[in-house]
Amino acid sequence: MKQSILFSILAVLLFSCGKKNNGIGMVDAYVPTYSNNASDKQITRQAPQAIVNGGKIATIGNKLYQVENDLGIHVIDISTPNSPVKIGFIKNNLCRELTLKGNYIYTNNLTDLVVLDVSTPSAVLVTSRIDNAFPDLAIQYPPCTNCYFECADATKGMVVKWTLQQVNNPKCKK
Amino acid sequence: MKKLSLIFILIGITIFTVTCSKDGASSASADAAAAGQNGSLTRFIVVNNYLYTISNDALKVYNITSPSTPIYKSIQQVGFAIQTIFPYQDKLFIGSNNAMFIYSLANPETPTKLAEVPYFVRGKDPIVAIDSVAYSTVRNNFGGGVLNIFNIKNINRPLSIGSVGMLNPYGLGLKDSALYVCEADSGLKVFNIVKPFLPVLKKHIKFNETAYDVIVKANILVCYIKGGVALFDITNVHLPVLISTVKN
Repeated sequence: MKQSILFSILAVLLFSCGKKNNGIGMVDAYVPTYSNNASDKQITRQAPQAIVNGGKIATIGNKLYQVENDLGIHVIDISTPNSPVKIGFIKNNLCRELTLKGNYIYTNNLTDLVVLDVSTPSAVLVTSRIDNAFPDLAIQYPPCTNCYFECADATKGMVVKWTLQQVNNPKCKK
Repeated sequence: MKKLSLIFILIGITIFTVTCSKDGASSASADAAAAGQNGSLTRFIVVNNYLYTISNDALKVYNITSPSTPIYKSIQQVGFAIQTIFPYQDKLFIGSNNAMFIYSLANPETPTKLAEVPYFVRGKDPIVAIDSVAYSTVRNNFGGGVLNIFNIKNINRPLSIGSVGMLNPYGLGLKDSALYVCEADSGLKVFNIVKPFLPVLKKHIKFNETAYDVIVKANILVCYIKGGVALFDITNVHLPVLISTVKN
């Protein structure tokens, strides 16, 4: 028992937020934005958007879907393969994964499993949500190496975004 | 055993089987609402009326007989640093940083482990499989990697047949006697797999894009590239022709 407590403390120290550092002054560092739940769980159909950090792909029929990492899903019409056309975007926070069956998209919204009915081209309907099905899709660390960041504070909610800013003495490094 | 271990030295596993009547790596679906197709890097797949998802360490199963409302069925620990899941016939191939796992879907709600093949050196590993041969890529952190070839006639005892050196390999796909392997900045390689255990490099397509994964969709090869997608005509399976890209 004592050992396991010690081990837990050690594990927390080792993995909580990288190395602590003291007094390095103003530096570039990543700052977390936390989820305020309701609005971050909204999934909406939008006009086509630029592919910036495109991710995994899936296809069915004439539709090709590409994840925009952490932001949503591009909807691409490939009925004419010589001239594919982006026809829409599904805003979906922390999106990373998707798979398809019929008119349904199975994807992650934050760490939840959600099912999206896309049978109506202009809309998206969330038909099911299973809370916290994928806890390890949370982004507790910024997308960088050898960088400073403000340690994520789990009591403030889930991190939905990391932004690079000037920070005075950031407490974490990885 | 030593030889077997050697074969698993690199990162990234993709397994294909070669005599599939379907287009490459698509999953089978008997019911009305067909499953879509995923790239080999995916962590979510649909097989018939089930949704399978992998997290860092576990496999979860949902019943989607009613596609709009998944019903959670089971979870089981698989290993550490799980990366990819690939369905082939009534099997699941799961790739982790240090092993490849094969599960039976005889009972689709609670897959059972048939085989586990450990790697010596850890890596990132998508997997695809078809028929009696499986191909996997393993990518290391130094821009290298290999294409691994496995004999899976005895699914309980996959045999490593050999490997081909690659440059930073990612996802892969298969159609008829062609094997497509993405090599990031080096583009796309096409192997002739008429002899499944002896893939021969047929074409190296450098198209000024960073290629990560592919889906074989009838005569079109859909390629996930950095910043978008590219489509190739693969009417001649060994000679893909770039026909369009979607970027920005």
